[in-house]
Amino acid sequence: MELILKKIEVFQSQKKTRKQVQIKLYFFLALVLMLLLVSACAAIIVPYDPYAQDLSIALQAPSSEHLMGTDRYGRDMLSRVIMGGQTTIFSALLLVMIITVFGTLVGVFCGYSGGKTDAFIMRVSDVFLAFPGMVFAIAVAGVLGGGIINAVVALACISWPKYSRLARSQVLSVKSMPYVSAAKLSGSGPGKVVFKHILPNIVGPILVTATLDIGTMMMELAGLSFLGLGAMPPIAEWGSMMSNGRSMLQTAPWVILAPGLAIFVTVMLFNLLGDTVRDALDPKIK
Amino acid sequence: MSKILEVRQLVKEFSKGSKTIRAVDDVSFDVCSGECLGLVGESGSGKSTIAKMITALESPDAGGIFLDGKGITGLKGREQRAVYKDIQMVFQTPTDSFNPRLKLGDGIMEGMINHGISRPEARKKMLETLKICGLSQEYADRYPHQVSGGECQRASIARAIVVNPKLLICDEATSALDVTVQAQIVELMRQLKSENHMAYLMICHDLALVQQLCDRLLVMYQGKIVETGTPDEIIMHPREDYTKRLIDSVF
Ligand SMILES: Nc1ncnc2c1ncn2[C@@H]1O[C@H](COP(=O)(O)OP(=O)(O)OP(=O)(O)O)[C@@H](O)[C@H]1O
Ligand SMILES: [Mg+2]
Repeated sequence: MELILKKIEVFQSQKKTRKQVQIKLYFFLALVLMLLLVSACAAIIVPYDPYAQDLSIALQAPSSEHLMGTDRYGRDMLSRVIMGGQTTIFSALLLVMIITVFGTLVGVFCGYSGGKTDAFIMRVSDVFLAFPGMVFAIAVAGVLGGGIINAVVALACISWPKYSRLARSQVLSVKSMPYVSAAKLSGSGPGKVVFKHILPNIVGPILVTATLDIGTMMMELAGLSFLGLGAMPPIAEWGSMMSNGRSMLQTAPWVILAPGLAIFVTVMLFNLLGDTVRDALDPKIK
Repeated sequence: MSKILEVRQLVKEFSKGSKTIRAVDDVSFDVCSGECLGLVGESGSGKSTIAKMITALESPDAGGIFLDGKGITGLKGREQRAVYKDIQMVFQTPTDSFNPRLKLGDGIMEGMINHGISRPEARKKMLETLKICGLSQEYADRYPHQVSGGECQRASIARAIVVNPKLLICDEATSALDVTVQAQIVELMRQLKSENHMAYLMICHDLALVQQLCDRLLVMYQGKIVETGTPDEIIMHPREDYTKRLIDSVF
C-alpha cells in the first residue's frame, strides 16, 4: 500500500510542471496574505467589539446577527475569532522567525567553523532536544509567568536547536562542494562564502521547515494558552478561547468549534503553503 | 627558466579512526614559468591533496610552498587573496564547481571584483575570456545546469585564466567529460599554453593526454614521488616497477 502511494507520489511529482507549482504557490500565498491582512486589520473589520460583555445575550447559538454565536459573557464569537487570529498568527510568525534566524545562524556558524566551538554548541542543542519539548516549554512559561510573549520565548528556547541541526548538516554537505572551493580561490572571504555561496544553497529546506512549522507552532502556542500559560484572559487567542469553552462543549459547542475551526483551517493553509514551497524550490521540477 | 613554484618536503597526514595515513609524504618539486608539469599516479596517491595544499584549501602538516621565492603557507585574509591572483585551479567536476544559484558570468567575474576591478570592466574582460575559451556571450547569463559539462568546463577554465594567473592547476579537468569533449578541452589548453606564459600543473590519470601536453612528468605512489622525467622517457623507459605497472594498465 505504502509502495503504491509512493509510486503515485513519484508519478504526480513527475507530472507537476514549474508553471502549475507556481500557480499553486501564488494561490496559497494569496490566501495566506489575505489571512494576514484580515488579522492585521482585525480591529477595523470586527462586526462587534470582541471585548464588550453583554450577559443578556450570553451563549446564543449562531444566528444572522452573531454568525458564530456568543460566548458566556455575551461576546460575539466571530469578532473574537478574528481578533484572536491576530494574536495567534502573529505570535506564531514571530516565533518561527526568531527560531529560524537564530537557529540557522548558529547552525551555519557551527557547520562552517567546526572544531571545539561546534562540538560544544551542538552538545548544548542536544540537551535541548533531549527534553520533551512541551514539558520544557511549560516549565519555562511557568517560571516566566503567563502572557503570550512569555509563551513565545518559552517555545523559542526549545525549538531553535532543530534549525541549527538542520542548517549545520546542510552546511556540512555543501561546504565541501567544489563551488565553495572555487569561491575561496576567487578571493572571497568567509562572510561572502557563507552568505553568497552557502546560505542560498541551503535556504530551501530551512524555508520549507519554517513554513511547515508555522502551523505546528500555532498549535503549540494554542496548547500553552489552553493550559493557561499563554495568552491571558480577556485577550482573544484561539487556544485560550477553546480552553474557556471546553466545559460548554455539549451545551454551546460553537464556543469551542469556532476557534477550533479557525486553528484547523489556518494550520492546514500554512502546511499546504509549506508543501508548495518545497515543490517550488525543488530544482528537478521544470 | 625561472622557478614559479617550489614545493619543499611537503607532508600531509589524515587520521582515519585510530590510524593516521600519510596522504602526502615528503614531496618536493618545482614548476618553472611556461612549463607544463604533469602529475600522475593511481587513485588515492595524494595528487588532489597536493593541489589543495598549494591552493590553501588544506594546510600542510610540514614543509613549505614558495611562489616566486615567497612562502605561501599559513597566509591569512588579504595576503592569501593576493596569492589567488597568481594561482588558479580548474576542478574535476565542472557543473559542481559553479554555484547553482549564480549565473556563469557572475561566477567568472567574482575573482576580478574581489581583486578590485570595476563591474563593467570585469564584465568586458569576462566576455573576452569566454570567447577565448570558445563560448559565446550568451553563456554568461546561463546557469550551470543549463549548459553541458564540456561547456561548463570551458567556463571554469575562463574563470581560472581571467585573472591572468602565473600557475594554473588542473585537477583531472577532463576526466568527467566524454572522449570527444575531452579532446576539445585539451585542444583549448594547448592553445592557451602556446598563447600565454602560464605554467601548468596537470593532475591526470590519462597518460596519453599527459604525453600530448606535458613537458615534464612526476609519478606519485602512496604519497611519494617515485619518478620524474619527460613523458617520453618515462613512458618508454620506466625505471620503477610501479611506473611500469601504471603504464601497462593503460596501454
Ligand atoms: N579530508 C580528508 N580526510 C581524510 N582523508 C583524506 C581526506 N582527503 C584525502 N584523504 C585521503 O588521502 C589520500 C589521498 O587522497 P587524494 O584525494 O589526494 O588522492 P588522489 O591522488 O587525488 O586520488 P584520485 O585520483 O582518486 O583523485 C586518500 O587515501 C584519501 O582517502
Ligand atoms: Mg583527486
